[in-house]
Amino acid sequence: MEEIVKIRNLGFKYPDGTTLKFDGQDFTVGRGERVVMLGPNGSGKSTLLSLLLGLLKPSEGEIEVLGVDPSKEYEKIRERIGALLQNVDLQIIAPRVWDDVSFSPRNYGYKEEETARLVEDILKKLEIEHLKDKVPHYLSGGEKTKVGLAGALVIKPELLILDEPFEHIDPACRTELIKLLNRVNKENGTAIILSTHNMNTVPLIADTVYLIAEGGNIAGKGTPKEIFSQVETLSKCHIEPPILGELFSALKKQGVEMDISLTVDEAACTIANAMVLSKNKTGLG
Amino acid sequence: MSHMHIPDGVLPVWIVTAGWVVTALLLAFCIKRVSSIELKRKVPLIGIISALMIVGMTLEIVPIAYHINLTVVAGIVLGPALAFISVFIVDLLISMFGHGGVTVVGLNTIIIGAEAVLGYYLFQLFKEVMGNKSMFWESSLAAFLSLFLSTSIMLGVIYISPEKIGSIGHLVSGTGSDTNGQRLLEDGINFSRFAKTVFILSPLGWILESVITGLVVKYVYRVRPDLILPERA
Amino acid sequence: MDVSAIDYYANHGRSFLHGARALSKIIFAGLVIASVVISNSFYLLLAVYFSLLTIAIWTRLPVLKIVTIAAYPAIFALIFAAASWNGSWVSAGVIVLKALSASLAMVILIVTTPYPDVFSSIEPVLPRIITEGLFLTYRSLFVLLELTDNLVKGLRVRGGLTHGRYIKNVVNFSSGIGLLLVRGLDLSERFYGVLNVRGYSGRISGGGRHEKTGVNDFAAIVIGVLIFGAALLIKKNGELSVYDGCMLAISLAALILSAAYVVLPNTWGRAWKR
Repeated sequence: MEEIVKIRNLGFKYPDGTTLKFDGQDFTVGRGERVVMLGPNGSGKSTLLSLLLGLLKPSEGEIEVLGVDPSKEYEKIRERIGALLQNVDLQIIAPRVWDDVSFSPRNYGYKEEETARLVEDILKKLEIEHLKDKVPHYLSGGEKTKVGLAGALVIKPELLILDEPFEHIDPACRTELIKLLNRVNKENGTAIILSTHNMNTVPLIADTVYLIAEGGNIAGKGTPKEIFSQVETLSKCHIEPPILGELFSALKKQGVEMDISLTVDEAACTIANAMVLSKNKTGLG
Repeated sequence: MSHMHIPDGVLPVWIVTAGWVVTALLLAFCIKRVSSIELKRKVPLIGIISALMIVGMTLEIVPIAYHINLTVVAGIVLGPALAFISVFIVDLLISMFGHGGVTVVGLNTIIIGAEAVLGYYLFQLFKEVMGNKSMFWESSLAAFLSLFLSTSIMLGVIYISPEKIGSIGHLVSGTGSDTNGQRLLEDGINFSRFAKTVFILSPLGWILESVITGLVVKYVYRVRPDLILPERA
Repeated sequence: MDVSAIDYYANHGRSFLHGARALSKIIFAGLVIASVVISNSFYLLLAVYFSLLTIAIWTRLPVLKIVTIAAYPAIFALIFAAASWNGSWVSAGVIVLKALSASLAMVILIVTTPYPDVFSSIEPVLPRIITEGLFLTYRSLFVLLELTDNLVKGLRVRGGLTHGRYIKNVVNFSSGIGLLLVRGLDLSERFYGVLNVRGYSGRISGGGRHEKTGVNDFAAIVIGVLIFGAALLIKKNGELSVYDGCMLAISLAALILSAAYVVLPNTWGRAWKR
């Protein structure tokens, strides 16, 4: 898989002298890959995303996004990246939803008809056409997230960067958003890098999970199953595993060996199979 | 009521027009001065500080017209050129809420803009003289003096244009003539009475605004000194 | 100055004026203000004020609230009136009515037109930095108003604003404003980041909604033209002409009939209590 994001021994120094060092493992993202970053507050997830977006300059190390160093040449790749920053309310800057969603194409100099077509398409896809004339401060949290996302997706980016997109939205809206992101990933081949504290969503949205410990240290990398099986590493990073991960780990402690399942359907299937198997065993005995 | 918003229709057209012309020239000068700063850096700053001034105006301290304006704070944080642009935006917006006349946005911008610009320079002067020892006193004094001076500018505007106010009486009663209006002007009754009223009502506003400006600047200096002293950034 | 209420009315109202284009309403307000500026007739100004009250009623928004918002300049007008006092209540009334009418015309414009539409209409005559500043001020305003609301609540809950302790209150209130300023400047950094990431090159707004001109626009402009025409006519014919009386009588009748038709039967309690 072609790597579109690569960082190596990246470091960042805040004005107050605090330093983050994203070392431990290399951080890479392949084309069309869905990557989730997990880590406690202050571990540097948002800082890393800001570094990828060229909003901050690294103090050391290497960073490459779509073939360029974003801290130096972000202009070159800007049209290929969509971003939804933390607290989406502050990302919506235009006075109306239509203005905000059309913000990037208008500023990139797209023709008026092309802009209108792109905006109509994305509003339709996200099922928010009815909001197009609304002003942002009358939208609900979920609506604001969708509007922010529409603004990020309107230019059909190759890479989508989302900083805690599930914050301040209800579970139904979260599920809807996950479906939508997966659809965008599948249909357009858009790679997604996302940071979240919501563990239960991780298995639904991630191909690869990175664990970021305090100070930026990349403490783990793997599929959701691999990551959530590493109970010790998770606790070192002050991360609670998702509820199903905890269940399987408790079952393991009770002597019931089962492959960890992270979705409800998968878990139900695994447990049912195990029960049938144990019944058969008892019957045979 | 640290400063007055001139309402519509009370001043003669020539002075209202002159207000617009002078404001347009000053705006052009300010825009030229800040042209070296990129638009995407200055637009958010102007937007936030203008919004903050409007928020200040929505918070009435003493009921009926005594609210804070934060013009001097805007001057200190933005510098004179951006602050003047910000004041114009605020005046334009508040005129839409009926909070100050729309035809006199030009004049009101000169008066309130002067507050921000003078506030900035006086604060720099006091900083120079007193060092960075007492941000409270330096900014309070700057605010008090600039409010006094901006009120004086407003009175200056009224002084050069009292004939309209004086002439309303005879036009309504239908008995007077221009001489009647002139007599009022010559006696100086209108102006002195007006100035007295303003100088009786305003000081409470000046004191409140100055104290709040001082406390705000002191607070910001403690938590983000780089905003008050850019050289520290 | 209840900014949130004004914005809410503009975005959620359903009257004929809400249906008109921003430019038509700007022309209407401009004509009314021009009438106020050129006229010194007490009766005409009273008629204009009555006409505006009638229109305010027809916006089907809380009339008392609108009139109160628009009454703010009266405080300053009273100072001007006091300064030019010549023993005649009528001349003082002229000054106050001028301020009240101009202000009510602007408030009618803004409670029936969302700010972004007004900005888009005046965009062509203003420098780019001013229009972009207007749009971002509008956006920031509601973010800051929310922060302020939380801040004031926080101060109240934690005893920072207590009855009777005025000096302490001022100190705490000022610290709150300081905090708001610091947060605001962080916010401006954030906006700068967003503008960077999203490729800003000098166009925050998309140029406003593309609406067709309709009968509502015609109505708004005709009302403006009628008021301005009357002002011109009365100015030409002098004070207390037959036109003054007619205009006053018509506007008063319109006001009474509108109040009787719109406010009294349906929304008396609701509209006036708000």
